[in-house]
Amino acid sequence: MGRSTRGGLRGVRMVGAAMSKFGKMDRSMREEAAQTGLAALNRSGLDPAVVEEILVANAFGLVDHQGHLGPLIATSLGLEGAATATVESACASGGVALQLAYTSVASGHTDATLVVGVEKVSQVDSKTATTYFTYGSDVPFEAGCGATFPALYATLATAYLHKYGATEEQLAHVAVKNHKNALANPNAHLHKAISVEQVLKSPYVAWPLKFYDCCPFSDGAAAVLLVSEALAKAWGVGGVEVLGSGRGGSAAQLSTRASLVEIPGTRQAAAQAFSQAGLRPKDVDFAEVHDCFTIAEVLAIEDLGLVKKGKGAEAAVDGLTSLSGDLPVNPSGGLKAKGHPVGATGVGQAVEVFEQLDGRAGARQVKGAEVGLSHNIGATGGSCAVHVFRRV
Amino acid sequence: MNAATPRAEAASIGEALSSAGRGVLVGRKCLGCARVAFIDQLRCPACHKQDFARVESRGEGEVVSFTVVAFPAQAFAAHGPFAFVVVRMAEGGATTGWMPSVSDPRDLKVGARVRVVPSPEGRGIAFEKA
Repeated sequence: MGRSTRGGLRGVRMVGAAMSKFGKMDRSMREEAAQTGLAALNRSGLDPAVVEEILVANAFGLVDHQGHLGPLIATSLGLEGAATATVESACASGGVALQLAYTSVASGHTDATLVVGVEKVSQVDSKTATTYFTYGSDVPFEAGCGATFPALYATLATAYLHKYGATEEQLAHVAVKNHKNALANPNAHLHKAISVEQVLKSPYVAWPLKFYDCCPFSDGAAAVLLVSEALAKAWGVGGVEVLGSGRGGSAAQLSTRASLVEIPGTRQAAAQAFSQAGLRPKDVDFAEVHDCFTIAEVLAIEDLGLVKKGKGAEAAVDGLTSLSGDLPVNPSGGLKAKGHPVGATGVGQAVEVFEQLDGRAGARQVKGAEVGLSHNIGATGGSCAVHVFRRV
Repeated sequence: MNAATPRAEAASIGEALSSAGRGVLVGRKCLGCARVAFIDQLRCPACHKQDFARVESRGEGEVVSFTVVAFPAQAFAAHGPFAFVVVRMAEGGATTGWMPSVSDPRDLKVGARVRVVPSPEGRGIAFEKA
């Protein structure tokens, strides 16, 4: 499945990026998506007319009583002729759309593809939102047996704590770190410093995961413009190089997996992305990873090869993954505190990488960042996308 | 072997769940490598054969991992807290399920022996401690 080289693929640049403030949005999904798409186009310095394709990442469009977002966004942007498609891969919708956009541009199918991720769930209460999210599981066998998403990740957490002797307190450090990082991100959903003690005293949502181990339900939009290296050069813009773009999958149900302490799809996507990039995990300066729950960040940094299997829970405690550590993870605040507007999440990660590699991340800037990674997974890893970027 | 016949013997998702509601877990056994699965599967991921026979589990298994759900979704709103479990069955193969009688994580352990029981309101696959 994996490729060993970038053979035949064109160089791809991310030349524009924008996001809305995550949290609660007043605009409709189509309006916020179009506004954010326009901001990404304007940021690029290219004429928006170069855009040939728009991929929209969205998981719960019908909640907003409006389907078929692509043509609406294209029309709003004055790009009626653009080919559009909506990508739904649960919480990985954004990362998957980004990977498909990469494939479009790298293969020569397009010279410029705009990716717009959007979600709005604040119209419904949290019980209803919890229920909608369960539709990303194997409904009869998982949700139908009482599982929520916190429950599925709690089941992974139980297996992990049991196998490696890790603790709930170690997991709490992941939440504390990401909340702290989000304080310096004006677009983050949550601006609230929390302590390990507060995490440990928060109520159980699904044991052993507590309220502060879980990301919030967020609204939001994010957009990035991918173009061929040739087009970027023709317009005299630098942007950020997309060095590697990988996707992978895992069995849909937890019950059929050989191990509950790893996400095979992350490993597969990372292997592809690193191979394409000609880089190794140790070359990564910072990573935006899928931390829908604290345990998810622990599994992610292990499966990406950034730390050894079984050592992930120590990383936030030791400071390795803090903003000033050797390997900052989720400098944006992550899904945990920046927020998790499902369709926008994976695209928002790329926006953070863009800001960081462009040196515009302000107080959360990772010093000397040259290589950044983004990691986005759907459900419990049934869909996974990993991207490796380099400063030009 | 006629592929269509054994395939038709494996229970559909609807049949599997209605059977589980009555306390009987049905799955499928691959006629190529004897791998047992309790999910919808038309092609064996191990040996790639497409022929399965219906298997009726004895209903006994061991907890692989679990959680106790304190904040359930709408369909289970009347039932919290309860355990959600991944269970390896004695016949091989694993399934997900829930344990209406377990409301405290201290009452369950990884490795605990459990058995299938009829599920409240016929919802999902239910277990109790063996």
